Amino acid sequence: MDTETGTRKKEIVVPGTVLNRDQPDLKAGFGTFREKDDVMAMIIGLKDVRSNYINVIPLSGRYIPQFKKNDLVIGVVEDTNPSSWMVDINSPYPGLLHVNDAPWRVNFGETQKYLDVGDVVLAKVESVNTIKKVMITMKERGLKKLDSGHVIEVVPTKVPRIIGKKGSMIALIKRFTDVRIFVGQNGRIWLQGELDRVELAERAIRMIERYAHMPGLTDEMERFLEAQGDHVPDFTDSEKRQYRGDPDRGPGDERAGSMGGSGTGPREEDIDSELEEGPIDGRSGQARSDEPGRKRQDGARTDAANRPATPGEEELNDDEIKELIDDIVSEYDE
Amino acid sequence: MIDMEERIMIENGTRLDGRRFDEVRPIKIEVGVLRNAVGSAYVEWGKNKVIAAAFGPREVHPRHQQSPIKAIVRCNYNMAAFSVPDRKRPGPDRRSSEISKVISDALTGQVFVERFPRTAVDVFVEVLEASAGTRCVALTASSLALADAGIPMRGLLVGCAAGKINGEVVLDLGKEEDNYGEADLPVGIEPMTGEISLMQMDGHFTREEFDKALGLITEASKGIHEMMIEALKRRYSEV
Repeated sequence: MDTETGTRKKEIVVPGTVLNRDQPDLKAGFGTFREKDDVMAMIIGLKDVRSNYINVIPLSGRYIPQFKKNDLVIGVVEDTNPSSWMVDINSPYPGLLHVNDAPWRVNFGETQKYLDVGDVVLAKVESVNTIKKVMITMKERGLKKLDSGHVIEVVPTKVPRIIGKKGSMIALIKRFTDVRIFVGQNGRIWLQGELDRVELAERAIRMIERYAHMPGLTDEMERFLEAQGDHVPDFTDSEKRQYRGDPDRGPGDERAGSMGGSGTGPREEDIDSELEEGPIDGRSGQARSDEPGRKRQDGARTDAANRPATPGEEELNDDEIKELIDDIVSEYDE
Repeated sequence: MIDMEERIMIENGTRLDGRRFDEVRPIKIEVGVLRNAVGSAYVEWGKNKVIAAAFGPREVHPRHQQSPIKAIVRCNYNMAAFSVPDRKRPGPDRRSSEISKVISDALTGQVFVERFPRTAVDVFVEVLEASAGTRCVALTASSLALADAGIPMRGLLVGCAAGKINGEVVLDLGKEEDNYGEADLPVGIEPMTGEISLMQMDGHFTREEFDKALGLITEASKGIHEMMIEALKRRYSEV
């Protein structure tokens, strides 16, 4: 019954619903299981038929890291070991971050110098084995410790919607609010910018979370942000089109805009140097003097709760963002 | 049940509360009633009022309970002190431990436990008002709460009972019917497949009576299943 009523409104299915009554040839996809000839839903969600597969797009549930997904996640360090950290990635399984996967050269037993309990990191899921042991890595361009900003949590199943098709939604929010944002697949979102702007961005994100399954949300969002915007630049239609379809921003490089509040923080070069292999201890200590050092000075430690934004942060490279976004098969039809 | 004087509970083919033999008490279901639980459900079934909250999959505490190959499903059934006319002494007792166990086992059969090794899926059931058949209501509510929590399951379980009063097999015993009846058969069933994941019996049925009772339950469970699906859909279609 869902086929002709349109691509807009998808049928809600519950565990045990038979999905292939009218289309017996379809294969069992995500969120489904096969029982003899029937393909049935195993979770509550929206029925979605895509290239011979029946999927159920989840409406609720926790974040479960999947093998080979390379999800970008925002984690909170839970524990330190001599050569690794346990990182809470908002999943039933903590992520293990080994020193070899950290962007620094860490001596045995000195892990706490670099990351301590409560610190927040931007990381990627590297591997998940059959017993769900999760390894995460920070050894990729743009992955780093998040020293300032705010972290909010959303329902992980709404993340694809918050990012939007090809990153359109998040690009929209960034554009209108001047806030720097990383969206972790695990439902944690990092925001940095001026306080009232961050607040606006959060409100926007909460709205998406709430109305996630409504069609035409991107336009709705644009209207909302426009109504809020005091400093929204005037766009021509072509410009709008540009940023909407293109996560790599439209006119006026978005990074420049979003750096606005933060001013003179380290830029590209620092990421590169961070990623360089095995510098001697002294150097690495110096280069990122601000990490363990600053922490000791003012006791600033990022935790999942709000903390004031401080200048001097690096942003994920545009190509990185695009790559991440391309990984995500946009689950929703717009 | 021994030496209990016989009570007349059927007159002119209707029961004490005016129901037919194959009629369940009125049911009201609401899903997603608790903010802090991952999934939750509230079920009113006759005079029963039950609330269920589901959490997980999450880390297992105490650790020794965890299994390296599958998730464990734990249910905690609790009756509020004010749920019955005479105050119930709070805390776990033999009866509630038993019900917790049978519901846990029934749900374990439905959840895809092998997908979440080393975790626990927890369901907490709070009985706010009890009036016969709470374990069935609890099972129904638990199943809904799990579905609401997005936990992969083979299907939704319906709890429903049948019993014998004045020698007649009837569906879904009420308070007096339960107290003075001759038999009670609570069943947990997945109506689409007909799989049974909970069955207990109190009292005696003949084989024919048993088959009849199970038949009544199977039929009734389909209607209840519809209501459950409808409640779940309602939760996610309104914003």
